[in-house]
Amino acid sequence: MRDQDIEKMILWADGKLSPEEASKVESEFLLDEELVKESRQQKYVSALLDDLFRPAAVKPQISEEAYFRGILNKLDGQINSRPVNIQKRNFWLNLNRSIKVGSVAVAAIVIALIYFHAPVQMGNASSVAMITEIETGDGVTTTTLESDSICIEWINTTYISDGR
Amino acid sequence: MAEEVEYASMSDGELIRLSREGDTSAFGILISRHRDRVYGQVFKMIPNHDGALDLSQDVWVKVWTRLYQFQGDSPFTTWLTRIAINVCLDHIRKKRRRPIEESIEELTEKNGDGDWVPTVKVDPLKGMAREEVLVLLEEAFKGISPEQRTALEYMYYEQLEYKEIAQRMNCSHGTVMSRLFYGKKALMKRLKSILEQRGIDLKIEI
Repeated sequence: MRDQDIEKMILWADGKLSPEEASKVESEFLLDEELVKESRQQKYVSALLDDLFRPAAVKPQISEEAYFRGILNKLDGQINSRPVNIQKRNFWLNLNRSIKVGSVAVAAIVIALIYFHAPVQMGNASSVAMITEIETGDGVTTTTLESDSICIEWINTTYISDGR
Repeated sequence: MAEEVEYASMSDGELIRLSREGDTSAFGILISRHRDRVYGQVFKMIPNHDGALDLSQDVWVKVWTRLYQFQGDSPFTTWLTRIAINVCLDHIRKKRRRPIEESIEELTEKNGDGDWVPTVKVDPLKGMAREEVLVLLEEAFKGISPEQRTALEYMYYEQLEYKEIAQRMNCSHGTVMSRLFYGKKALMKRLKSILEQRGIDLKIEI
């Protein structure tokens, strides 16, 4: 596209032309299908960006003092007075960093505890549970938990020993 | 009183320097100078007063804690606008709710350009959550050149005149026009591609 067409299109799409100029430019565009297509896209993007980003002509519905106080509250007392402020700000920044470093350290400890503690717990569970080695009626030796042993013994007693 | 007058006559740069040293009065002047703009910017993206108030205050908190990052390469307003938009986008990513209220067609008509034939008749973004459109655009912006993006940001985020954009970007008027034109073209292409990936066809029909 020619530079002058680009400029015309930008000015037109951004609404920078007078109604007469705009009308003239539009009639020029209509002579060329490519220009029509291009101008439509330019207008679309201009309108979209303008709609989404041009600041609204509204003001906060509270006083300037209340607005500023809200910011102060959000800063959680960082801003108070000039000499104290830098110390406080540094304090908060350091505290923030410490919390971040602390969080990472705590997370690492928790993960390590879970990692190393879990097998111990499982081991403990095994030692606590009643694991019994029994022989079934068919002479097969098996290792089993207490509940299973009871079950197998009951089967042996009820069905095998009785010859049923 | 004399001190207030002194502050009020200071440039943004001087106020920033003092604010960095912990001078809250200087920071207060910066806030009162740019408060309405920040609020208006946030309100446009988060259009309810409570939300806009809360987020616009968050913007200032962020500005205060990041003042040390401001290099002064670009004007304070550019940096401030960018922070405001980022705060809103961060918020939007967390909650996406409000549907877009006006289609581009309606906007075009409202702006008085609706008489001309080629207006946008089909707008797939209509009905899509406004927040979703903002996130889509942010994604689309990533796909265009930094120069084009900067020109578009100056134009549509800050509403600068072409002449001011040329000064800030240290280039000619023609280059600004070219960057805006090809930037919008690239943005549209990228937007179409992102929408296509979601199965949406962005067609602008006569």
